[in-house]
Amino acid sequence: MKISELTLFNNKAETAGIGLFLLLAVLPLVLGVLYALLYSLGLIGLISDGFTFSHWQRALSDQEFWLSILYTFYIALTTIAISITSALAASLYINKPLQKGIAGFSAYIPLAFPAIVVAFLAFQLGSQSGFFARLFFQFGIITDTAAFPEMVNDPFGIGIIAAHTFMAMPFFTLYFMSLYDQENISELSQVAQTLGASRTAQLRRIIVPIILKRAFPTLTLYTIFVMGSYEIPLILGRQTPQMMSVLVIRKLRRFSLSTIPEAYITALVFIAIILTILYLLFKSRTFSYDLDR
Amino acid sequence: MVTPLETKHISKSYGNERVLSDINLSLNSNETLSILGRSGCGKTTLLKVLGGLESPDGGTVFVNQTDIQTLQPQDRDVVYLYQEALLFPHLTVFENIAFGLRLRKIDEKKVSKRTHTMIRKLQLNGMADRMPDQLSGGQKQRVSFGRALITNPSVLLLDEPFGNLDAYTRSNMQELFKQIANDLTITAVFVTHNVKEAILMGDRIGSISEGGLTIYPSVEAFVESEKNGVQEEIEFWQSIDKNTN
Repeated sequence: MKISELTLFNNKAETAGIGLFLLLAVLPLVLGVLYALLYSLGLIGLISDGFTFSHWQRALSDQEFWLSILYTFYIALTTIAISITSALAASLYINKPLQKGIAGFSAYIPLAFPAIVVAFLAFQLGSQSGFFARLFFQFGIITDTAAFPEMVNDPFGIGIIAAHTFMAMPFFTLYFMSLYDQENISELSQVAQTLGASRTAQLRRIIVPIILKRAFPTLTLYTIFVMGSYEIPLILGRQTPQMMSVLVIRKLRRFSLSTIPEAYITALVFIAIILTILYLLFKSRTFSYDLDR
Repeated sequence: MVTPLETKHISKSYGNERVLSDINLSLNSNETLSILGRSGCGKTTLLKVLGGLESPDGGTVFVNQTDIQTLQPQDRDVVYLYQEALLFPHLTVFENIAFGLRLRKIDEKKVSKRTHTMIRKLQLNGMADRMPDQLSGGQKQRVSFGRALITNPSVLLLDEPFGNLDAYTRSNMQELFKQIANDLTITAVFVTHNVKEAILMGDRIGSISEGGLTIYPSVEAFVESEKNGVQEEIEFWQSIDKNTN
């Protein structure tokens, strides 16, 4: 009798928990998406004029929209690629100093910086009127601060990528170091070595594939986080192309109300892209990561 | 006749603690030497020195009569088998076993043929595509064996490989190892702290105590020795026998 009561209680607790999760986490998102969808179809909103695809037609034929999608992917993938490569190198080659002393403490410092602070720092350091430009000018390396290479508000998003990398790299370094211990990689490398693997083969066939496979969900989520970031591209990016999050807010806040449905459409497309990527990536999680194949 | 493994005057200390002292041994082809010893007596250190995973303070290791002291572990043709299976978690059973062959850039058809033959020998039919986390402890240890044996190394070093297995699986694995070692003419050093296992697995038996290695000329000499704990074990079982009768 007691057992059945306990089971019933557990079920109730589970049901309540799931209900609370749906209510607080899923329902607002669903309502938001629904609102955006209705707005984009002209069914609600200040300029609602009845059901129409005209907003979608206008949004999808806008070159800025497609450029923004490509730019968002470019920034996110470049940031993740640089961060992973440098974090792997740091976690494998300087892991001992990073586990103690000042070096160990310094690895945690960038994690304490909010994105907006990092963006301002990057602006103050890397702009043509910033610290490095003045330093180069003072040393006579450049004749005018305007001759300093554009690293902020530049067409290639160097400032945005640098700021994101500054935040991501220490995080990934610490994460990879913890995975290295958790996954027993030191012993697995020794096994590979006695089987005939050189240091390069150990890295290519054992160490990097295991770390990347284990880190895969976190890497995916961080990529999505960078794709959706706002403060850094707002401060360090150009007017065009803009990352999708910045473009959405710009279109929402324009004087002309006619761009509001386009803003919602951009947001909806962004959500659809992310959900599709997540579905495709997590559909088959058993694929091999051996870099030799 | 070429001696697959020989050591001369191997010694190793950690700080002030002398773990190995003047270790000399010589193995014939297709011979398994069991080495018995208590935990922390230096058995694993000896295997790691032989495999190149630890450097000795003095002495020399010869494989096939070549001094391999300066060679890296990957160049010694000596494979070390751990107590845990330590399968590569991102690779299937097939890829784990084929790992050594792939490193040697062997033709794909030969890799497939040799790996499937090994899978059959290990009685792992139908499991080629499984991931390590889908295997039992005994199955994992079989894959680990196959991975070590497939490249036909000059010497196999086994560091209590059945230590984590239950009695039944352990017994099966002991038989399987003896059979495969015979088929493939494997030369091996088998380290254990289990007296019965040392007798079952070894063609010759040795024991490590206080840094020194004693190799017994016969099983009888091993059983009669008072240095290796066999007598205590015999007395224990005799006392059980008396009490139950």
